[in-house]
Amino acid sequence: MPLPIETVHTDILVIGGGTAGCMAAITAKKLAPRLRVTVVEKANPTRSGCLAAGVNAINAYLREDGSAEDFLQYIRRENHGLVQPSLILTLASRLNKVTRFLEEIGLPFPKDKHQRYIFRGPRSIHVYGERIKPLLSRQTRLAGAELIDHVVITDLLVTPEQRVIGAAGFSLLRPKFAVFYSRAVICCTGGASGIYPSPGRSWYPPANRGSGYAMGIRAGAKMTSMEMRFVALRIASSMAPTGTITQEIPLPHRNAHGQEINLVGLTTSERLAAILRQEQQTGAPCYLDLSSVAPSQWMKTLTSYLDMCPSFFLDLATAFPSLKPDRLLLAASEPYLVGGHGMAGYKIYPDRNTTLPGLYAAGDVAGGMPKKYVSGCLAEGEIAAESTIAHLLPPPKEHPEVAKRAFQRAIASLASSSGAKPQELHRELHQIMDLYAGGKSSGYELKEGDLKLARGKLKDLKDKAKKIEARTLPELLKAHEFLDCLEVAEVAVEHLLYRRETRWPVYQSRKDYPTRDDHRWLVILNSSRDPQSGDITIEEEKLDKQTSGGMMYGDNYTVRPL
Amino acid sequence: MAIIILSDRCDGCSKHGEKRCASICPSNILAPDKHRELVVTAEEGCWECMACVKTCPREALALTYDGRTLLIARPLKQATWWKLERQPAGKHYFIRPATAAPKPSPDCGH
Repeated sequence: MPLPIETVHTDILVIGGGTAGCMAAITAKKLAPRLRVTVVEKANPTRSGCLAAGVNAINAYLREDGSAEDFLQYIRRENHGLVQPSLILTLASRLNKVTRFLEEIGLPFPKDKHQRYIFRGPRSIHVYGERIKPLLSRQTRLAGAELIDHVVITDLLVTPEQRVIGAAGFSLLRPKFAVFYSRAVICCTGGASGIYPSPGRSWYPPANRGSGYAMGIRAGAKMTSMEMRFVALRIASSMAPTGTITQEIPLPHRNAHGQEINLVGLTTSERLAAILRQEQQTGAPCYLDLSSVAPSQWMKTLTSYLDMCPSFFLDLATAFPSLKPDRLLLAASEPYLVGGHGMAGYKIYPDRNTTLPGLYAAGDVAGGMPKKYVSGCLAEGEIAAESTIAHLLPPPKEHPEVAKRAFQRAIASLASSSGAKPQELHRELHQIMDLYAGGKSSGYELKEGDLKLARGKLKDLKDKAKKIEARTLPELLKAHEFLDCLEVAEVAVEHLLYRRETRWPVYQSRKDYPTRDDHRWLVILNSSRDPQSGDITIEEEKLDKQTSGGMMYGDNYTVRPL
Repeated sequence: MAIIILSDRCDGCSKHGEKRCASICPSNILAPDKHRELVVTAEEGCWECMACVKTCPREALALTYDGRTLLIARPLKQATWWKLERQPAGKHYFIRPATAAPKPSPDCGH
């Protein structure tokens, strides 16, 4: 299949037309209307990314009397002490502003009689967010940014001096390879699903395959905290969020014997560990006890799931409209790497610049700023765009040899005819990660010996993947999604090997080092891959204590036995 | 749970120039097969987000777990309307979202 090359020059290139990407483009056009801002998205930005189905709550919103400092303390506790205050404080001050922005562009929010947002939890407000993505992408167009859909970016373009000068990828609609040169690139892609196998419906969008991480790793950008996996506690089968119900009405979590599980005072990962332990002990899933929920309340909750996870509604459809279930079974997801919930992602600085000049990151792909959710991704997109414009580099010269390398890597699998199918290779990756790198079927537990086995097997798989074969453009997409997952998996395994303690139960739980060691391991791990040799180096970064008043995590917190 | 395409309702978007469901799918997994009928090409890639269902002007796509109980959605001007339809009798309920103004038709339940 011949793939003609098309070259585009723009000022700011945004990779990924999701929450952060749309906001970055809108902000850039607002600040500098004369600059050309181009958003490239691998699907259709009207419904793509994490908000494809919508959202029913904004989970990072501060109360009037809540300060950015309180938000920082909350994240410090939730994250078991590993925080970067400068990233959290720069974002926290914008959370409410960007939420109001959503309302301004037409998203309906329920209000109380004083016209205030309605809180669902301490930092969470209700929203009728089914149309958040159509509205955000529409606003991006209205702002004057150009949206290019169905183009899959495969590589960043990096000069020998390590400046990022654009990106390149192929179109899914017609045979075409697009090379974008730009003064700056803002990477706003999603996190990574597909590193571990998903037994049913995936918690995180299956289209988000960690491509943003992978292109950064290949370019030599530093990644942070890739050992902090995220595992979600969800309603079994539909993988719908539990918070929609439990934040509204405090409901007991019970084990299979009907005993209530005490979750008071636990962090999210500790709660998950407590529930999994009960599941292990009783041999059956735990459940949410709905017996105290009134039918009218239940109907309201059920319809609010339609704004975010319609599968949940349909799961209960046999009972509709007359019945309310007594219980909802709970399940834990497979592990993911995602910077919107955990910390895995690009090593970024308060300006949302990465370690490569000309490259910024925002949203799920940006690391170090956990629990940012929708409003945090909007805020981060805004910060990244502001800094990009403040430090805009001159337009780069074309680098045909750099573009050619990207082109050759992008289409390599189209030329192959050895028969290594992307789906088959992806299944092998799943098996390796699930068995040797703490997947769901191995109880999420990690051991040095297993991780070293995983390292070796991933290396073999990478050799095998040199002969990956794709015949059509959709297959080429599958091939790249696999290669990106593999790239991310390799880095994650190195991080998991390096941290010899258990910082977060379930997320990063070492069987050979089962306790948390604040004395030795209150450090952030950053890694980079040498683009020439392929070697991954990990370095430790001391916590940024200046803005946190020097308070250490261990000072005011004790570990509760589960 | 899966997306199904009701071939008796689907007209291949003959009036729209592009197959709307295929164009909106975030995972790029809706495509015509060799008989030029639309199919879900990779079930494991479906997130059940229902973007395809919402964009279909003919209610030809639905989310289902048994092939008979269909969840259909259509964004109208005020809000998105949801319909739970049971085949083969065609009995259906409309689910009124909290943001919606009036009911869409006199026959709606709930």
